[in-house]
Amino acid sequence: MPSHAERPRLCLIGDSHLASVRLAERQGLLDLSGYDVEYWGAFGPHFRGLVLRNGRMAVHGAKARAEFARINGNGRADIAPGEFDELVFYGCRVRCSDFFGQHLQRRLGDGGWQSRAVMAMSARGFLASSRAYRIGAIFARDHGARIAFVPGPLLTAGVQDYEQPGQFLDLFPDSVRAGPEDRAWLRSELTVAAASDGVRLILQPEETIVDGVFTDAVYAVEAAVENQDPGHKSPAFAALMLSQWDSAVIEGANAARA
Amino acid sequence: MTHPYAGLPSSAYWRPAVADVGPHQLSGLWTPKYPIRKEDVVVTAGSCFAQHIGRALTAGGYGWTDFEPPPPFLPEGEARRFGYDVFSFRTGNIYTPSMLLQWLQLAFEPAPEVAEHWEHNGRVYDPLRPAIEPDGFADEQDFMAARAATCRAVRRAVEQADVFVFTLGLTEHWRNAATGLEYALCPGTVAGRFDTRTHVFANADAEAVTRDLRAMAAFLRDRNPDLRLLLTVSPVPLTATASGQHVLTASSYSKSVLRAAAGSVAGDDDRIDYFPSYEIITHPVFRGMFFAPNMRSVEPAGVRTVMEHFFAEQERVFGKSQKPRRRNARLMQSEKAADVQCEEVMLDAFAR
Repeated sequence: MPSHAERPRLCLIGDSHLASVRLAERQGLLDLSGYDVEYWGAFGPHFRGLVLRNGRMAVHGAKARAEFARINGNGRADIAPGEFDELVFYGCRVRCSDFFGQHLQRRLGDGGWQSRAVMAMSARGFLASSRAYRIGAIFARDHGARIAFVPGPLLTAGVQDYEQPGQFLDLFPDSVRAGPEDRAWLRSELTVAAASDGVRLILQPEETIVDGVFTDAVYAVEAAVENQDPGHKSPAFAALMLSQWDSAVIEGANAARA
Repeated sequence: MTHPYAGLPSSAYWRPAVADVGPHQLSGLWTPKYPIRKEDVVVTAGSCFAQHIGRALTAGGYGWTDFEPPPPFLPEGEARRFGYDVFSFRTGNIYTPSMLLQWLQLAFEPAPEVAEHWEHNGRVYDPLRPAIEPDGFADEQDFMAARAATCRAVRRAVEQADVFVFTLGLTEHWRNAATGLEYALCPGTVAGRFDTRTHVFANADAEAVTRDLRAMAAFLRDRNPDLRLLLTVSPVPLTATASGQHVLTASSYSKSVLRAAAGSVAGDDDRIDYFPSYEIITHPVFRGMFFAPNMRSVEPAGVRTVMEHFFAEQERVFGKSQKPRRRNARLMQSEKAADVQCEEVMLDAFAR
């Protein structure tokens, strides 16, 4: 293993989805030993405290600051450009279900069409709806930072009755008819939008998707049905996602378990 | 009764109705033929002034409905720049009844495989709405798909609307000499290339506008027999004229023709009404107070006054429309996982 000083410095930044990454590492599903790793984040309400202050990624509000520091374990209060070689944003209040559901409904159900220019704007707007993404994009643009962004995945199949009023399939009933080409279209739009910001976007792979627009239930977070939690995913899912960022992190884990 | 003027209400006499009350106390300018309730689905189309009506109806709690809303996550300013949230569908300005009739025919007839379009620097522009994509469409397929989507939105709007508000804007227009296609703007101004052999100018007279309005109304009724039509005339003068006349007199001609035609068509149909927004902005009694210094743009106070009259006269005749508007199931960004779950997940994973 490279020495501490030789390993690339990696910071995993995220909201509650970050927990699945941590658990994946603990469970040996993810081998991050090639990196000098720090976690930095907070669950939803506190994660919204993430701000850009004097060119540094910082946290607004005492409670949020404390939560970020606690998750980090070393009391980290902020991140300056260049402090890490790699920044991976995970979850970060960006929910792919929102983007996929609405666009697939327009495409498959409502007969809507947005021109390529409009679609590109929509993709940029979706990503930029997250302050964390915007900060990451600024770090990439202004400091050449290596930024990867892993948005929150699609809802998990079967966890809730999505046809109830106001629920996902009540709002986007035709999205279940989405096929690989429909999803590829959305993937492409998002990936191109992120790339134009210098951000590497990592989206959940096709093999994790069922029923057009849901995550396969095998990736559900533990007790997802009991807790009615369609958003969070399992450690195995986190490992799969990060393996797209760096295949070594899962290859190493697999080798260690062999 | 000694003569027909005896016993008329004061609104029939200039002195008590206008001279004595002044511009700010005018009332009864419009006696609506039918109620517009807050639960009614209201659709707006027409010249640029129509967009104010849609916005004011929404602000007043009325059911102005956008049948071609912007895609999610589009910044509001960008959405409007690309022609969303302006009218009930993304047609851009429709200045003439013949142009609206043309859109209706396109919406209800089988779509052609190709349609006339303009190309410039590798981008494609829609002659029916050349400004809708400021940088043009990516290619012909992009253009045709977007046109088809708007046609579907027009169709849904016509079929589902209770009230269709159309604001007439111009009599002058340009057509393709061979196909008859009416353009939104003169080719070569915003996009396209002007060709004297292909592009012909026309300036409709009252007879033609009346005929087009009747055809338009018949078309709408045919698709939606219960539809009520509300006509208005834009008070905004022409920005330019190709008639050979001075732009001021050309504006007078155009607005006079539109006003006369609207009045004529509304006069003989209980479900076609005319609302005098044009008069409220332009009449000498208002001394031009609602115009910006360029005497063309209408100031927000003018729009506000117009809509105050609209709401007041509806209430005067039909009473207050109490029922709150039932909002469209506008696709929304949803907050999904409960935060308490998020906290538990984090506590579990990062417990030390």
